Amino acid sequence: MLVSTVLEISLDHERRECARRLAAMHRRVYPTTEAIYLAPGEDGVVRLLEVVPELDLTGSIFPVGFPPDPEEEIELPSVVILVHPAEWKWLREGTLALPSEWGDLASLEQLS
Amino acid sequence: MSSSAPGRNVRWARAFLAQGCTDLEAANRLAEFEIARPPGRPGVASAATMLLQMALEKISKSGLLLTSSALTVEGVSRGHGAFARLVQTAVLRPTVGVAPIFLHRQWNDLRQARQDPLFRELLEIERHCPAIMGAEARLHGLAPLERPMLEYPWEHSPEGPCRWPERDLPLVREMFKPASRLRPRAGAYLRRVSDELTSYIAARE
Repeated sequence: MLVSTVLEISLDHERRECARRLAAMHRRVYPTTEAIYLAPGEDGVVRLLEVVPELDLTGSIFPVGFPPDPEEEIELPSVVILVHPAEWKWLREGTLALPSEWGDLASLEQLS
Repeated sequence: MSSSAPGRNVRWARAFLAQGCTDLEAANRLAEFEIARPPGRPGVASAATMLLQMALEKISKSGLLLTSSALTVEGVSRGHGAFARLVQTAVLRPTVGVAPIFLHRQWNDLRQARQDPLFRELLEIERHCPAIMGAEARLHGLAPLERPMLEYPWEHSPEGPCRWPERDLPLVREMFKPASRLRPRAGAYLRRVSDELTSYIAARE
């Protein structure tokens, strides 16, 4: 029991560190990013939702996956959803929805 | 973008790609008819453009499904605007997975991409689908019927004239101007992307 708890804490720490590094990398591409959120998860995938004003409005949600990148110290796979600020507003209003594997909007943790 | 997408994602990617290629072929056939259209026959330029938009959407969804085993078919197959979002997300890691297939020439940098007439044209074609125009109408506080779009008529006000894509949509007129290279370039881009995605999928089956 203790070993599995320590392992879970360690994995969660690695996921968060990876998420922070990805968030910093992504901000360099989109400097006007308004917010970056980390979704909960225990499957070893870093899921980030990023609010980016430079995007074209689509009114839809499209996740895009990326593999690990050890050269950049990104040891975990990631999935990124970029949203326009209006789409972020509609997500909060409940008229848009995240894919089911992302959990509730309330469970997102703001990273930056 | 991961190369480990599981079997279901690859099967759906192949299906989206196949249907996208069918839409593209139909768009090309209609365009040929439009260019040589006999006098008195109804125009089909808007239908050809709409089919090009449908091809762009499906081929982009095929690419999206190939990016990761962590995506679900249900989470990717709905909605409209897959091309814009795939390209705008792929620039985060432009050399990985299917990203180089979609990131044409200098599109690695989105600001540079917006200078490319082909990129702007593809975004315009995609944007004129009713769903995205509906989202734009919502953003600007307009009624959905007040945005010009492919497929359906629209109006600028309830008292004003009703317009329809074949006669009134500037995008359609631009696409079929005799000197315009945009429609052939868009078609060539989608054919190249389709060919490269076909090879990408074959390597994973």
